[in-house]
This record gives sequence, structure tokens and C-alpha cells, in this order.
Amino acid sequence: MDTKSHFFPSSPPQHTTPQTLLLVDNFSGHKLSDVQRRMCVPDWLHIEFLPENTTSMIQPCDGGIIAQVKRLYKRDFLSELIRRAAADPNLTTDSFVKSINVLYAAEHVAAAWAAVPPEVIGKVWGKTLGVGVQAPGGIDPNALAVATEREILDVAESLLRLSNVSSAVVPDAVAGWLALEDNMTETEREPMTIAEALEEVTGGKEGAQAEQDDEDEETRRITHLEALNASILLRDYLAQEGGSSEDKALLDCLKDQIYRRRVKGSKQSTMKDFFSE
Amino acid sequence: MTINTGFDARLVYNADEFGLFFRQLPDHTLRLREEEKQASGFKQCKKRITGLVTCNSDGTHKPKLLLIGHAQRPRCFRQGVQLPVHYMANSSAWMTAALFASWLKLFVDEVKAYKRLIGVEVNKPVRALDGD
Repeated sequence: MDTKSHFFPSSPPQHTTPQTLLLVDNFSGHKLSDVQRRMCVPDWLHIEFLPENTTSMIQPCDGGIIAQVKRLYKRDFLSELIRRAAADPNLTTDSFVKSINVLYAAEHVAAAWAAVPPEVIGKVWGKTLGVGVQAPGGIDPNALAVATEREILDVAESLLRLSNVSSAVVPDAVAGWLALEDNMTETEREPMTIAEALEEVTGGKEGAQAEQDDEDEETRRITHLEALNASILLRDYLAQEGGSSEDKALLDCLKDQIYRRRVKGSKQSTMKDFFSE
Repeated sequence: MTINTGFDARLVYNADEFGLFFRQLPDHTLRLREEEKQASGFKQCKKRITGLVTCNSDGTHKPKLLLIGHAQRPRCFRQGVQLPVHYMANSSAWMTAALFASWLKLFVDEVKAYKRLIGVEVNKPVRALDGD
């Protein structure tokens, strides 16, 4: 089945006003609870999960948009190194790297994102899902990718010239640098999920254990009614024996507390009964 | 799993995360003069952030990026700094359902603004009479 008919079957629209569609992949972080869904997703927004193990093939963002953002970021990152190295001959890579903070990353990733041409995004959508408005002509995503990589190689070469290093730029190494996160993502996501699963299993066991402990305690615990009767008896006893008014007030307070708890508890249990029936 | 047609191409979005070693230099290819003597190069910085890219299917709407870092309030975000991205944080700098939910609220606001811009009503959809 081709991807276009999978996502956009030719059934008539059910709503007269336009709706918005958000496609996301099957990553566990995208799965919202019912409460979150109710709070964050308005009626006009539909979130659709892409089928598993297919996202790199059909997800537009994966199909070249993100790669272009990263290329532009890394091109600017190297250019920044050149600028600073030219201004300060004593600059070391270490001190340069330390000067790059999250604010720099935020500003330059945003700039890289802004520099991705809309028609390229449209074309990537067409390439991956076969949808979207594709203007004829314009820049081809692949041509743009090649051009940006060429720019990165140029920047790398001028950086080497600047530092008087005799070795040449190895295009493969630059390509590896650009694809660094892609390789990491797969290997890192796997242990993450296994670790999470393990944590969940062990956490779940502990939770079950704790629940059992609670239940054991529950059986040992006296009921609210017993406590209430005991407190009333104790108060009467104190009244007979001529206890201080402070003690009586304290016990009255305790009795009221127990009474309130008991009412609350009985309400809850009847609610539970109501739902379990 | 089907989706009704009738979605405006401008209102079909895709969002996806990416990881970024935002301060990692390429190995082997680049060295400044000082490091030339050192055979082993330098220790690579593995500081990683996560970004979330969202775009609509014709590229006309590019909502703000979301960046997920480690620090709730990084020192470099001094007061008065206008961030060009949404910033959130957790200990792993990974996307979680909680972060995704709070991002969705921001996304919904941006889509609303975009709908006004292109002259599409923001009204709730008209429900079918049979309660479908």
C-alpha cells in the first residue's frame, strides 16, 4: 500500500470546518495520557501516529529537513571557529568548545531552521508522503544538501589553511561528523528503552510489594468505628474519673476527627461498590 | 488507522525530534596549531541537546523549534534574553510525554495564529448530528 492512500484515503470529509493534522512518530514520549490529551489537544487538532519502523522512510522531518538544519548549524559552528581563531591566534579548540553554550545553540539552531527554504520543505513532503503543495522549479532538496556540504568542506579547508596544518580535509570524516547523531540515536535509544523497561519492571515490583504491605497493614488496622467507640469510652471514663477539661477537649477533637474520617471512608467504599457492580 | 481527507495542505504538520551534539568539533580533519603536537587530538564534547522540528506540508509555516536541555535555567539565559526557540529541560535532555504535552499547548497557539494569518476559521469543527 502506498503511503499516500494509507494516510489520505478518499473518504469524504466529516467536518465542514477545517481540521489540523499533526503527524508524529511512535516514540513513547509522544504517547499522551487521556488527561494530557484532554488538556492539550483541542477538537480541531488530530494527532496521528506514523506506523512503527517506517518513520525514516515516510516522515518528512526525517526525510531531509532535520538533516539540513543540522548541516546549516554545523557550517555556522565551523565558521564561528574560523572567525574566533582569526581574531585570537591563541585560541584552542578546547577554549572555543567551552565558550559554546546552550544559548549559542538555541540562537544558531533557530537561525538554521529559519534558513531552510519553504519550497524545500514542500518538496521533502512530496518525496516522503506524496502530499503537499509542490511548487514547480525552485531548489531541489538534494541539490541543497550537496551545496551545503560543499560549503562545509570549504569552511573546513579554510580552517586548516588558517592553522597551517598540512593535512587535507577528508570528506568522509566530515560526512561522519554530520551524521554523528544519526548513528548515536539508534544505539542510544535501544539501551534507553531497555533501561527504562527494566526500571519499570523493578519499579513495578516494588510498587506491588508496597501495595501488599499496605493491604497487610489494612487487615491489622482497627476500623474507624472501633476507634470511634474507643474514644467515646475513653472520654466517658475520663469524665467519671474527673479528668481535666483539656483532656476532654482533646478527646472530643479526636472523636470528631475519627467520625469525619469514618464518614469519608464509608462514602469512598460505597462509590467503589457503585462502580464495581 | 485512517485519516479523513479534507485536511488543508497548509494544516498538515509533522513534528520530529533530533539529537544535536551542539559543541562537538569534527575529528581528524581539523586541528588548530597548538594541538598539532598532540597525537591524540582532543577530548570530544558529548554534550547533547534534543530539538523538535515542526513544519507544515508546504513549508509555509515553520513553528518555533523546541530545544530540550539538561538545565532548567541555564546560566547563559540571563534575564532579558529573548530566546528564538521554546526551551524545556529534564535530566536526560530527552523528549517525554510531559514535555510533549506542554509543547503541544504552545504548538496549538502557534497554529491558531497561523490560521488567523491565512484566513482559516479557528472554530471548533461542526459535529455530525448522530454524535459521531
